[in-house]
Amino acid sequence: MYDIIFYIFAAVTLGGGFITATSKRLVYAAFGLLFAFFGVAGLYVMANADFLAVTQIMVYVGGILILLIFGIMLTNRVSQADVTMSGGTKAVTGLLSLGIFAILMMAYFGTGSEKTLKGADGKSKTVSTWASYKSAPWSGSPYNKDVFNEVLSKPYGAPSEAKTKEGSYGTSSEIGVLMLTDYLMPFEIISVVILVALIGAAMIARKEPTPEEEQLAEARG
Amino acid sequence: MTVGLGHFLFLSAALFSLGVYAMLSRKNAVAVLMGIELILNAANINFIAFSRFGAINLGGQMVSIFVIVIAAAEAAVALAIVLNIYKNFKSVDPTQVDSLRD
Repeated sequence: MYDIIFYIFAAVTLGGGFITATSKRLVYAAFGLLFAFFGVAGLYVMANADFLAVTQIMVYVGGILILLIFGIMLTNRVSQADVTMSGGTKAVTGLLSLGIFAILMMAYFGTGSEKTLKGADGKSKTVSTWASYKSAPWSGSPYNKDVFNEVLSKPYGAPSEAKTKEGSYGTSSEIGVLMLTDYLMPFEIISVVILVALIGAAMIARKEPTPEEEQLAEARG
Repeated sequence: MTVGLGHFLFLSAALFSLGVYAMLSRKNAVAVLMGIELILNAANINFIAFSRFGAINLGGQMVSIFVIVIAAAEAAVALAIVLNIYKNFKSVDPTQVDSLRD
């Protein structure tokens, strides 16, 4: 059941992303983005990140997507020119992105391996392990290999199950505590960043007052 | 095959490539921004997947919260810039915004 739902969300995400990347009409691309965002939110739920899923829907679908649609409506003319590059550029770009995908896949298949373990409860679990791999890519680097092995070989489902206290639901309370303890400094910095972005966006996007309006403003004091 | 870390990483790599394609092949600045949002989402999927299947507990989720916040700030500022470009150039084609070139 879990697998089927995962594949549905994955298909929704990739389909939405594909429409976003290739659609000839900008509004269709925006709707594709909507599906991609919802699919990603579903994937967050599949990965035990309930708070993040809600945040994703509220911020991306409720905020960024609306902003983008406003941007489309404010900048589109009726006789809109073609929104994609010419065929040659498109082919080069497609090759480039396929190459990036191939490199990522090579990195994945080259550095880790997955194996299926039998858990204590008899269920088989897929575990990513780097321990079985002989020469890790960082073997000559200063990083401690054991840390990476520990990070990636810990059994299935460790995080929330281990940390969630009895009687509490989801990750929200833990995220709230972390935000005001371990991550207090980034939290404060990001709030300043948001403030700067807010002021900057309002500053950049506002209308220049015409000379008459300036005189009026001066007359009013 | 049970869904594991690899599935999430594969999905995120595919979404990232789609985002790169959208970002580079579009002739409209708003569509380029959509590609950037796809890329940020792909990065977030990776963080969440490692938070789920690794031993970094909630660290990945915290990082992706910050990524979402940065994405929101970026979208707001970028759209303000796009509106200004439209006002000055009467077009949002990033290939035509080259008046600093000569």
